[in-house]
Amino acid sequence: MSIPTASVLLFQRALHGWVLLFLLTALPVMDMLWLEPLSPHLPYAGWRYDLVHPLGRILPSTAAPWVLVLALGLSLRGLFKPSRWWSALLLWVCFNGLMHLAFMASSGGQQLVANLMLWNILLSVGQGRQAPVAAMARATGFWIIRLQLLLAYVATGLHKLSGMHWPQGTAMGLVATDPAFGPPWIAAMPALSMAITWAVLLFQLTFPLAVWWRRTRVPWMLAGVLFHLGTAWWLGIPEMAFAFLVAYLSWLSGEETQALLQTMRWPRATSAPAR
Amino acid sequence: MGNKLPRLLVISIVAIHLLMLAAYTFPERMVPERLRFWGQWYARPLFHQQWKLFAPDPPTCSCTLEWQSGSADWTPMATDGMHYLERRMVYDHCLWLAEGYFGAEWEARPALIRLADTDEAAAPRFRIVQGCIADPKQPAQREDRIILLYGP
Repeated sequence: MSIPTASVLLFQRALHGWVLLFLLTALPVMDMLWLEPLSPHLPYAGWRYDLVHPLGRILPSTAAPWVLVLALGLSLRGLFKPSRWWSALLLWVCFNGLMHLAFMASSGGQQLVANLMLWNILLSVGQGRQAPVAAMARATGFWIIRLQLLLAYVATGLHKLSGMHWPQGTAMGLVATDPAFGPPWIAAMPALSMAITWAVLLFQLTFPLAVWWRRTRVPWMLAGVLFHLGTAWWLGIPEMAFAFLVAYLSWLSGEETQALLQTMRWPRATSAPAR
Repeated sequence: MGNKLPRLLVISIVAIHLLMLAAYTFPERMVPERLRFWGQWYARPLFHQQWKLFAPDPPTCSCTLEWQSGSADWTPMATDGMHYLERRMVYDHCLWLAEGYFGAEWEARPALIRLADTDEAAAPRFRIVQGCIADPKQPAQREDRIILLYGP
């Protein structure tokens, strides 16, 4: 059950980088998100909700700034140091608590990252150790993270297929002419609009297959980068776009990770130091 | 046998987790009702996720929140220089109000006043402007529908 260590390290650092960047970009509106939240209170009850959304339940809402500082510190730590299970767990709890208070400002990106962070707890168990239980925990976390990405694409693809406008090729026209989104000029070219509609559908349904083979993995990932950067710009969901790109890293082989780092001229990733 | 049991355990955990998530996130008509129930019980709140952005279909009506004070013109609440998270909250409030998700419209008024960067003393009025498509093959042609919210 070996997992590519270099890829895991890059994924973990990118995940912490995402959290840090998101929280920093949210600081200008932190009063609306966390100090005096605009999002309505969700009335869910139960110990599992208390655990995952502690702010306003087992912790007072006024603790939000401290939780934010803790989350910033932990994500900054994870950017430079190997991920430990306790810091991964703390960060997951902090992040969930903050996003529960600000759920109206969230998108699929926060949901995806919350799930990746949860399984990163297992992925961070006993890094460098070969004890059977630690190795099983890491393998479980690793494969759930990988397959979580594929599930997201399959789910959205199936939902689109069950509708009317995606199979008919008219969906992009509806999105592009909505003043909240864009680009509006697409609607002036019906053939292009139809082609993009079907290309998006095809991409989302075939990515879960293409990613398993090296020859198709990189081209599909490059298509995914273009797709998600487009959504970041035109749909106003940059954090969702980058969340998917972070998840992509979990699918890279060791060689592909090294090649990516070489391209970015970063230091060669090595295994976590054995303890 | 030494390596088989741990591998089998990992595969089982991963498979069951993915099955429950699939039951939670896949279209309702693809999932048996009982399995969907257990998927919801399992996934909420620890693994909550929904992958229905513009799915099954994009909205056929756009949603724009506008506000007005006194005799001034109606002004869109989402402005160009607005922070992307703030813009998103404006849009989500618009959708929630249009769909009737707030228990009462008045519940959202304090939030709208803050998002419009005004105060109650200005006696602001709010409305939703929906641009609805009649023909999907001509999406640029939309008919405006105005929903006046509370106000003095």
